[in-house]
Amino acid sequence: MQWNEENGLLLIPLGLGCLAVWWLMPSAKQRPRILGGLAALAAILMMQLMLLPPAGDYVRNVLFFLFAAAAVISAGLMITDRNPVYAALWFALVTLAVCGLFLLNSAPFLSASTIIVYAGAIIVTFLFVIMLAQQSGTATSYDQQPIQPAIASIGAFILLGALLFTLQEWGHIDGKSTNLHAEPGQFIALPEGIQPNPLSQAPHDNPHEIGSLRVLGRSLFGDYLFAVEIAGTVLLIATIGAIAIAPRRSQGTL
Amino acid sequence: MPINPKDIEWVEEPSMNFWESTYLPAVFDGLRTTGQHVADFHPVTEFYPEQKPDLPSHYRGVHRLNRDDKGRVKCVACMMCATACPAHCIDIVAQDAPKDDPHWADRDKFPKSFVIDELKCIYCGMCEEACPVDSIELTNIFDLTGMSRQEMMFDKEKLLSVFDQTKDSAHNPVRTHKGKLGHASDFTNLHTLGPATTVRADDRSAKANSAGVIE
Amino acid sequence: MLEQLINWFPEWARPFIMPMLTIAIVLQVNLGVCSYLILLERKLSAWMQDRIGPNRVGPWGLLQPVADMLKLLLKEDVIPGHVNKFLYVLAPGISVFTTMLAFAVVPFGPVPRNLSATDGQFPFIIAPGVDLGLVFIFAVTSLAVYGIILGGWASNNKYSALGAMRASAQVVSYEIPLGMSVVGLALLTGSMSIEKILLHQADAGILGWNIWFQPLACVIFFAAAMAEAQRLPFDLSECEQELVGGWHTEYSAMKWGLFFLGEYTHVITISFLTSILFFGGWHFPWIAEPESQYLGSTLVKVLVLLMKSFAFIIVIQMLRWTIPRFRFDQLMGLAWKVLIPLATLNVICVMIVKQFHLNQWWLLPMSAALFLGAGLIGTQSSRPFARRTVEPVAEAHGHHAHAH
Repeated sequence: MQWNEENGLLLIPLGLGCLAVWWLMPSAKQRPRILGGLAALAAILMMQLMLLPPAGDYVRNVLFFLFAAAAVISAGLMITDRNPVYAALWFALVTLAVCGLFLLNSAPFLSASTIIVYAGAIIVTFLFVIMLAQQSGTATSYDQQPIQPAIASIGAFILLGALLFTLQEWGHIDGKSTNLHAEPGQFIALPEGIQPNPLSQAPHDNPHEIGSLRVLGRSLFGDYLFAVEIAGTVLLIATIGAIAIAPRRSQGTL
Repeated sequence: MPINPKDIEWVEEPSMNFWESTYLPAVFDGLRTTGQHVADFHPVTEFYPEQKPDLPSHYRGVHRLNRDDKGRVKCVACMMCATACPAHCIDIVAQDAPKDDPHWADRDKFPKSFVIDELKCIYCGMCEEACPVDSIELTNIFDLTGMSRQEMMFDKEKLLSVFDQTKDSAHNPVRTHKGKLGHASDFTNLHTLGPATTVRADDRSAKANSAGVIE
Repeated sequence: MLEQLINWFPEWARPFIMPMLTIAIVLQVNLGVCSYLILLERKLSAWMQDRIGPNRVGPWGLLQPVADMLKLLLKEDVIPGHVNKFLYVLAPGISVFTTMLAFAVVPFGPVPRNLSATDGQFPFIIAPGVDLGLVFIFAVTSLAVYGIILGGWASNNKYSALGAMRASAQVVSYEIPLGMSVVGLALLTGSMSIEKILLHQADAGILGWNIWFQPLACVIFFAAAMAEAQRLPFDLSECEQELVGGWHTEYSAMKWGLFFLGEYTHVITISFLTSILFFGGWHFPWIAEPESQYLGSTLVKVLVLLMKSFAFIIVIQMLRWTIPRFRFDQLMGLAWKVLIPLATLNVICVMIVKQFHLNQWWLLPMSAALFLGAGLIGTQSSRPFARRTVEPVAEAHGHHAHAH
């Protein structure tokens, strides 16, 4: 019951958001979009009241809320827009807004590389495919309706709720017990008892170095060497697979 | 009918040598060519409204109807040009020459009206080829404009006045087969056809040792 | 003088003065230069083709850009009925915005080493101290393709859509060699900041210019950057002969002009980047050294950088009128089969030199060897269109017999 008292309030915006997304999803029967919009707005506002912004100055907070609101609203519009091209563009906006958040949290390289990879390449490829599939822009019936809107939105919001509850438990971001040692913009403090990787060489003494390329490189190839190598191998295998699967020109394609 | 495979000749791409396959020499070679044109600059531009183009005498512009030595229209109203015209833009009404008039004593027919729709005309020169008496000819007047469609219907008087304007110009010689076609084609006191094309001494393209240049 | 200007403002506004001033100068100069670059390009193409070029407006046609701008502004701004209006209007804006934004981290003069926003030094860069200048530029220019894609899609025209699809495939492909080609520079300098790469070369003198160590990377960078900017010979997305105008077929008046403003801004950025990353930026032996402090030395340094960039702009424009356009499969082949492997091998060469503490001059023969090796492989490689096997000639005996 303790848990309920502390966290039960979060269930209201989550449920409301779930309902709003389900309501706004394109369907055969036209629903008044304004209702869904209002529900979504209410959910976002309630959520915003429950989660405190990161500590920081005025400009930072304004920027944070701008980027966060842009990300959440664009994400909602991305899954509820009828037109696939607009959906892809909202996706690009989500990426850009999230990159802004990365930048606010002293991760410029992550931000820039996310823009290059996601906004600059992957979504461009999406657009490429969408344009190949339908030039005129009016979606045909087969991809105008989501297949399982109710299950999808409920599932997504259960996942979101799990994430939020975990973060709240772990990082105390609800303001009830703020971690006093957290740096500005730091959401999650490392729990006691977790030792840093012995390979890690990141210099934590120089505050200007945090977020620099040097630290990132050391971290990637020290702390996360194994993960980086595994990811590289997986990508290499995927590339080789793509080349192997792609038909040869002599077989009559292209 | 299917194409006989024996008639098909497959042309292979020429294989590239080492330097060609690195691309850069070709790029620099091209840049040298374009750079040379910038450095050794001989513009061939003509400043049009001030400087009229030097058109060759076989240029096909506005038509004219030639006069013969006595100042009569040379046309004998044979309808050859109207028949040859692919655009059907020539309209001729023929009339018998008045026998008792000494002015027309040596002629059978002449055009009562002769109208060319200059807007319909495609300036192919077929009428000029067809004319047995070298009467209809194309001048090198190229800047033909008018305020109305009616204005662009050239009748006999207008076509004759074009002849009066252009007959003394060296660029519009009367292209007569003198002596071969009887008296209707004869001229005694006018320019005759000059050389069809001229190549100027400073024309670089004419000196190029490549295919496509008329020797 | 600048310090007095800054101090005249209230305290809270002071950090904004210098950036605003710089932005204003860059934007204005950029707009003017763009329009005159178009005149230059028209003149240059005319000279190459033994023509005279624009010469009617003003002496030697010098007022032609003004006339062009007036014409573009006063023309009827047609929005065809069948377009997606919002994206149609948005696309030229994206095109200009992203290319202008990329200029934020490009220094256009000697950037002072210890710069603060309020001490009255002119920064010569809009956003000083960006540690990831190069990555920022690639991130922003990779967004420029949205202008083309959206413009092409929103136009609701087959030619536009074809151009936009070509552009998307091309830009996604050429981003990889573009990014890979400068990784070597970042390794040699130890920084991705454009200012630091410039200073590193300036401190090392003319023999420290990156072109001596990374000539191959320079070629790859230049080619890939031209492909990113959709310049000839890589302008398949707008090629007039096949696609009317490609993605801007349906555009007119100033919206069309904005696309070209974006393209020319991109050309300027490329030229600045090439001269800064590979040719020492504002450094020139004897006249513009880092320690030269004579009167007007700052101006000389700016002029040196501008002259270098101008030289590259000329090269880009001359290439446009020299090299014919690639075929689309050749374009993709060049990126994936030539530039990406070469750029990767080049990075590996730099890694070898750094890891084993070899002399940096080893990089010069290594680059040459890579380049010539690529040429050698090129002579051996099979060309798919040349290997078309001829069908065996069917001996038509029966047919002949029947005919006789």
